[in-house]
Amino acid sequence: MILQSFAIFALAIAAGIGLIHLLWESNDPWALVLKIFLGIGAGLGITSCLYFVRLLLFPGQGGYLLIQAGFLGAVIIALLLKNRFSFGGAVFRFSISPIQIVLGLVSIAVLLTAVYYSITFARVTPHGDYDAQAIWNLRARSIYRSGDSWQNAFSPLINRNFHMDYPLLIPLSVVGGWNTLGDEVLRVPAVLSMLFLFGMAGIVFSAIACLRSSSQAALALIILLATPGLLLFSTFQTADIPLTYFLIASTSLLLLASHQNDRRLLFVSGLMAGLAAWTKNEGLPFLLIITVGTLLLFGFRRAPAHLPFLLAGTALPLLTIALFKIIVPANNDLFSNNGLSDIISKLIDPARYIPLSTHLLTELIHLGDWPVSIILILFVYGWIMGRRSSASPAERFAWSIPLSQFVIYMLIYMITPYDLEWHMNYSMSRLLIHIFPLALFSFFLFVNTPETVLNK
Amino acid sequence: MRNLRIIALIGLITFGLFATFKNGMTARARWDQNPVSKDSVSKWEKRVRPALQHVPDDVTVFGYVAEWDLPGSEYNIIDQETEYTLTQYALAPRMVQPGLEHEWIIGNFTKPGFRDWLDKNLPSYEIVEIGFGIFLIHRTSQ
Repeated sequence: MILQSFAIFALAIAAGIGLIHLLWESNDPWALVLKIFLGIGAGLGITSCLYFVRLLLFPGQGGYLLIQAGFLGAVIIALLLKNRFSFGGAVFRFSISPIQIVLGLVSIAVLLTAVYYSITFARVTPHGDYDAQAIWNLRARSIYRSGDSWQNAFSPLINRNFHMDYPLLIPLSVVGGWNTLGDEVLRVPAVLSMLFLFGMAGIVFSAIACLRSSSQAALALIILLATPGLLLFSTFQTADIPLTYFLIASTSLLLLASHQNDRRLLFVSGLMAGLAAWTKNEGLPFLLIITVGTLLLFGFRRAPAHLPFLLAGTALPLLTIALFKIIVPANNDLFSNNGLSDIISKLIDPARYIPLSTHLLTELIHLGDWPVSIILILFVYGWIMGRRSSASPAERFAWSIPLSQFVIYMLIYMITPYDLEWHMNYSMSRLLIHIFPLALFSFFLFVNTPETVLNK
Repeated sequence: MRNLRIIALIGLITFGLFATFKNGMTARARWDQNPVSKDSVSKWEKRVRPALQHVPDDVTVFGYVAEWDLPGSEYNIIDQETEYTLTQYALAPRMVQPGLEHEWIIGNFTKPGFRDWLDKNLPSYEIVEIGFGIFLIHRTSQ
């Protein structure tokens, strides 16, 4: 059933890969690998936007496969018209150093263990974790089982604990999968979780390979997929790992756009940022961060030539979100009972900073559930290896994106209408996992590669 | 310095491999040949969904009462929240709202004494025991 559940998304993923290849002309081998992993999210994300529009316009719930096929057909026609089926200029070199062999073998071991872990948990917890049952899979079930009356899944009579305002990329992908298979197959949400986990790992690997070296990329992949907390969260069938996927996709594309001075990559970066917002509400502040980041990275003078590309990329997801907000005018729980004066008084209350700092420190020490603090380990590793002196401004800038997202998360805790201790216990480890792959990506862009050290 | 860097590199790889080994062992310990029969969510669905056989098809909203409603009752709030959520998950797309306001109500009680509370709070009702502490309560007009 797992393979069948993968197969129902194959056309969307193929269309996504084709779209990225259409927009990004590089035929560098690592760029081609990166396009495959970027295609997973682009394909699934765009299909989910189109499927939502289809649900609004026509009765019934069928057509998910047809949308994928139409999307793929359109991409193939565009690729043919642009003559982008040839990979002329792609140079594949097969000289492998001993360090690459070692890191390659370790990476394969880590990857296979992560696959085994994901499949095991998909079998023993087929409904995911509590939040999947309360929000993501509940929404998918409610829509799927409602048939033509799918909008009843957002009735104001539903208890607000179930967060009606959360966006629909994941639930609608599950609904589309179930409609294609003709049944509520439990493996569908599990397969989506795997696609986004390994897609994210693939982006981290191939983007670092593009920007630095394959050995450095393998090191990042080993640490990422060995992280116990990340693997565990990926089995929860919530939208956290898909969100993380889109954050790293958008950020790596922004850096590559600056690196290659290619504005079409900004378009794809905007698309990924928009899809982050269509995945989870935490994607909305990220959209702001990536817009400001583009302004700062390209400079205000060059902004008129670059920013429109980024914003154009966000158009489809933002339009879908706008339609969703019209259909489901539910307020966000963080702001519905939280007036401006409440927010200000919480922000200036020093008593709230102490528990926040204490809890944050504990969470950072245990980040990712590593047996020893991964931050400490990476700090020592980075200190010994030294930082890269020739990093481009974009690579040096990479730190500011996870840092900005982190600051926004901390501000949310400061103003939360919930009991602060409860809210932090409930969500902080999850939110820090959103940022962890981004921080890891920035870290491995920042420190010296194994080759630099071994060749000295 | 070069040697120290090589040690750091080997150390990081070893650390990653150690965590991977632990992840593999965690997964191996969880592996089960027949996992669905032991999954708590699937079990809860099997307990709650038979209630639907006793209600008309057009019922879209259920009430929900449990130990947390009984005055003086001792309960674990996390368990109660989880069971409420799982009940909503099992009965979707029908809505499940805490309280006695609806004609059809799911009762989730493991301790005796809830019938006295129901008698006090509902003027007239019929009750069907579904099993495993799950009850279907039908408010009737007198």
